[in-house]
Amino acid sequence: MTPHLQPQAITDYVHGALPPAQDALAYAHIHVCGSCRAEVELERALTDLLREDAAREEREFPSLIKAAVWQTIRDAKPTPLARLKAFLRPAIAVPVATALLVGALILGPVGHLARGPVPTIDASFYLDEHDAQQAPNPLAERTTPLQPLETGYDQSASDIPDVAAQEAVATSGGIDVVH
Amino acid sequence: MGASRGPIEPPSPERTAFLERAMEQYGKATYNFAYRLTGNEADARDLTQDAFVRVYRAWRSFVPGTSFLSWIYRIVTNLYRDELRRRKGRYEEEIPEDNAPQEFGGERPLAVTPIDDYVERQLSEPLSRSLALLAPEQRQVVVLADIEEFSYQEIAEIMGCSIGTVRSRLHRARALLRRLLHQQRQQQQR
Repeated sequence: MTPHLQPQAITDYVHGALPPAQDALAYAHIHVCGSCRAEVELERALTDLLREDAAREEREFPSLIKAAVWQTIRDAKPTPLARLKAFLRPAIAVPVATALLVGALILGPVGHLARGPVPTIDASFYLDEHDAQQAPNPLAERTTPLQPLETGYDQSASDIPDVAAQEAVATSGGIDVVH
Repeated sequence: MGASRGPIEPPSPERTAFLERAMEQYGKATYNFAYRLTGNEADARDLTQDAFVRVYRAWRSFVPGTSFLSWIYRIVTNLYRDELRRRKGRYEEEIPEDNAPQEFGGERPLAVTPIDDYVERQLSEPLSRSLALLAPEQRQVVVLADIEEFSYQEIAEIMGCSIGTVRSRLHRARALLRRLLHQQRQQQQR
């Protein structure tokens, strides 16, 4: 014979909560074990008693609960979102939007004047700057020409543009470049 | 009870219809469940009312296709638990721990709230009196398992605990209930 059912297992068995394999074992055991069968019957009797008592005590749903629920909902304070939605309904939102628009139109130029004169930049600044940047030789405006360095460095192979040397020669009337 | 406090969104046709249908179909079951938990009509009414206000407020969180009864019982259970905590704070009464064995200590009843004390004095039926003497969590699990016939899994979801807790709570509650019934019958026979 299989071992006796534990009290917890009897509760589970009565409530149909045992896994199938254990349930089958419990079922088989109860049929051959008088004491376990008695325990199971006692548990079932308690369940029957509880259900009978509940059926006897069963009550109808009081209609006043329904009314009270609706009253509570009506009386409840609306959520901030609901308040915002209520505020934004057309009857209020349209006049408010119109007033804001009119206000912006009236106050717009005044606001502009209140900010004072807008600082300006003279056009010559841009012209001069562009002129300086676009000049083929940025050093062309120098009044003193570049002096060649007597280092024996071969300038023909250097990266210094020939244009600079040519212009320097042209403006100074000719300087012998030491090669 | 507290669910009626706080902000609420204005009625919409879908929401209104949802609540109307919920009260129509599940009002009686919810009220009876609340009555079995609280043991008296006044608290059961308050609890049911708060539960349906909560249904209205949180109607979008209900998943269609799932059990509405489980959902609203979970709401009722949570509200009842909150209420007990609130009363515990107010009356500084002791509420037994979930898994602590509830031993019936002679003259001192296990019912700990004023409501339970009242119920304990008023009820004449041994079973109702014994149920009222259980700790609230134990009473809930007995009602859900034996009267409402929910599975352990469903009870665990409703009560927000593990299946293991449901098993142990139910076993202890029933063992205590049997002992209480036995004691009361012995007292009646004397």
